Amino acid sequence: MTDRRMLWRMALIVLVVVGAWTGLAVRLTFLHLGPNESLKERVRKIRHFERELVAGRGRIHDASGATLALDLDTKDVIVDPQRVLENGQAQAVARQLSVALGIPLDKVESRVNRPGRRYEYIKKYVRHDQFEQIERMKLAGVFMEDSSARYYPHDAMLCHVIGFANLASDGCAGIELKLDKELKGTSGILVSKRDGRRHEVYRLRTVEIAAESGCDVHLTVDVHVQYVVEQALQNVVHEHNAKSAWAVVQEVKTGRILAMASLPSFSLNEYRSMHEDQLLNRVIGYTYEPGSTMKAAVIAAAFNEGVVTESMMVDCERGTWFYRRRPLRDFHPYGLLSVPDVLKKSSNIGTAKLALLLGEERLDTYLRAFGLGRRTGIELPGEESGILHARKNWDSLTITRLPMGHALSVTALQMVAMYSAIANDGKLLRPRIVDLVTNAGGEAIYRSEVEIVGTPIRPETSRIMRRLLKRVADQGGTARRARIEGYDVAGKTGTAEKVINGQYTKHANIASFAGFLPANNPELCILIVVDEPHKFHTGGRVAAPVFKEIAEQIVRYLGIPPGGWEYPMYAEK
Amino acid sequence: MARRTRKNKRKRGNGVKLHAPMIAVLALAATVFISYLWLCGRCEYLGTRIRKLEGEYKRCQRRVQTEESHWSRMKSPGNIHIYLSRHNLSMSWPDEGHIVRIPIEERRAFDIGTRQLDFDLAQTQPEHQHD
Repeated sequence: MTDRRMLWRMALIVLVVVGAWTGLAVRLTFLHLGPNESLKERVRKIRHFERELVAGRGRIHDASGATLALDLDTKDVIVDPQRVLENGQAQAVARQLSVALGIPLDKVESRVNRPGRRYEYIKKYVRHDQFEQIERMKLAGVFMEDSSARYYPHDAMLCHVIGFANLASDGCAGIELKLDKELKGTSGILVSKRDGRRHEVYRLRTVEIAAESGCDVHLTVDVHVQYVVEQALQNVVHEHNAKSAWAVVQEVKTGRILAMASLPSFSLNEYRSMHEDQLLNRVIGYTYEPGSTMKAAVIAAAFNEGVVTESMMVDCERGTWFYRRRPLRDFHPYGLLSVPDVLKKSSNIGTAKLALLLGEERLDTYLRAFGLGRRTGIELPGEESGILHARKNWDSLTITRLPMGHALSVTALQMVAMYSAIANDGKLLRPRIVDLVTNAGGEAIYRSEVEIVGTPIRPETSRIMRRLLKRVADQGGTARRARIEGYDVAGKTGTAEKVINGQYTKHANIASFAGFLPANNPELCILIVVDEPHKFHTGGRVAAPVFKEIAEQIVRYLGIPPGGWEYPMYAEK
Repeated sequence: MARRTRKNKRKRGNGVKLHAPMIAVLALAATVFISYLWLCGRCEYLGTRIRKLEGEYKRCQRRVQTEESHWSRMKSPGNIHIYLSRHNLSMSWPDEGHIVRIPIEERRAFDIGTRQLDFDLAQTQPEHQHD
């Protein structure tokens, strides 16, 4: 009886086990082979994943190879307040995060002490060294998420040229905006499957297209030259309590921009807190009346047309001349002046008379040939074209006002390009700030080259103008404060009254100086503009010393000999 | 005792005879199965290793980026100026009178001479090695 009962029991157990297994097998078979598409789709969705492989934004370098902008892998530090509060660690966690991240303690505490919340940002875009420190702390309830941020190692330097990219990695200003497409790169894609532990099953990886990093951009600017220029501008703004100041340095024979600075500036790493006024790159985005710096263009045109000679004398009317019953005045009264002295003494009357000899049509043609009234085409966004009215809109006085830099507006870049043309045997070059663009493999996909836009004056006229502009920096000239020991400097000062509420005012001036050196074989052209300087307001007193401060350091840094290079050095670059 | 003897007899009578081809097929199947398991394990191991190395690579990249940004910041002219000031070092460019300029002809001659010297040294170098 006992054996029989045992047998039944065994049979029952076997039956149950076999039944269970059969059930499972049937269910499994049904799940795998049955017509349950929705279930299969669910499983497929859980296992399948597609991930975008984000491409890093390309870097920006200067001419010496220094990195100006790069992407950094960062992390967002997040706290789970509920968990921290449950552990009774709120105070300790807040204190440690405050120290590690440099955030005020009360601010961290306010984020941590939020019962019921599970996700609170403490700080976004935390850099490597800081987040490693937090990782080592192993704080319960504190975790991090991957992020990426653009970083500018030189902070405010070259801010207007570099521009910045926002948190979505879109270029918003400067080179970052202009070359956004090249800098961005191409995202990759990964299509694969993951296992029950949510780990990728490598052998089931079906698609893997690697992300292609953005191109690297190499600029023509040099951080050392830029630093010299920015320091000099800061000094002049501080010394003369000026509203703003800007400057540009260009290689005469190549059109390469070595420095471009504008004050006020802003920190590229803190661009969100800047004021709109700080964002403006005044070198290309601000137009002003150039004042007497325009005289060089008019006199060059007069020489090029052969309407004047160096020995010709001009009556400067003892300081006041009535043309069409409207007075035109000189800063200092002069009688008879030779044409070179008209330039040296910066006589408005003398230059106006030369413009009349030239005539409206030729004056207009030359000013346009020097690139005024149109954009230079530099690789930066937001360039202004300035204002040079069509000749049909000129009134009877315009021809006498244009030579003294009134009745038109220009950008600093147009002026530096114009002076470079005067210095460079009359060849007007397109200013260039992007030297080279290379792809992720290091291959050059764009290389800028010297581009001659036009030839407004002949080489002989250029030689005469170099000689005449050199005299301006001699004793008795308006630019004597621009002289540098051992070098011949050529240039022209400019002082323009600003137009406020539709009228010229004597209390707000723009002082400027445009010059090049060495005068006989020019290598560098520099333009300085100071907006609303106080105490002194002329280009000779305010801007010319800045030229000297900048030029004497740059010629040493670049090793430019007093006579210029004996062979075309830049052609080898 | 008798029951045990009977059982043994039955066992002996019902024993399965394994033929050589069958053993070979089974051995092959076992080998394939073990190989499959080994390959799976190997794949899993390599996958883990790839993941680990990818993580390591990312960490190294991050570190390089950080160091590069530090280095770039450190050697920025403004920063160098700050460090110089901190150590009371005042640097200025040489005056024109302190600069010796070599005319281009002399410089070229110097360059040619230097190249010749380099060439001569390169020629004599193997002999020294033989010695």
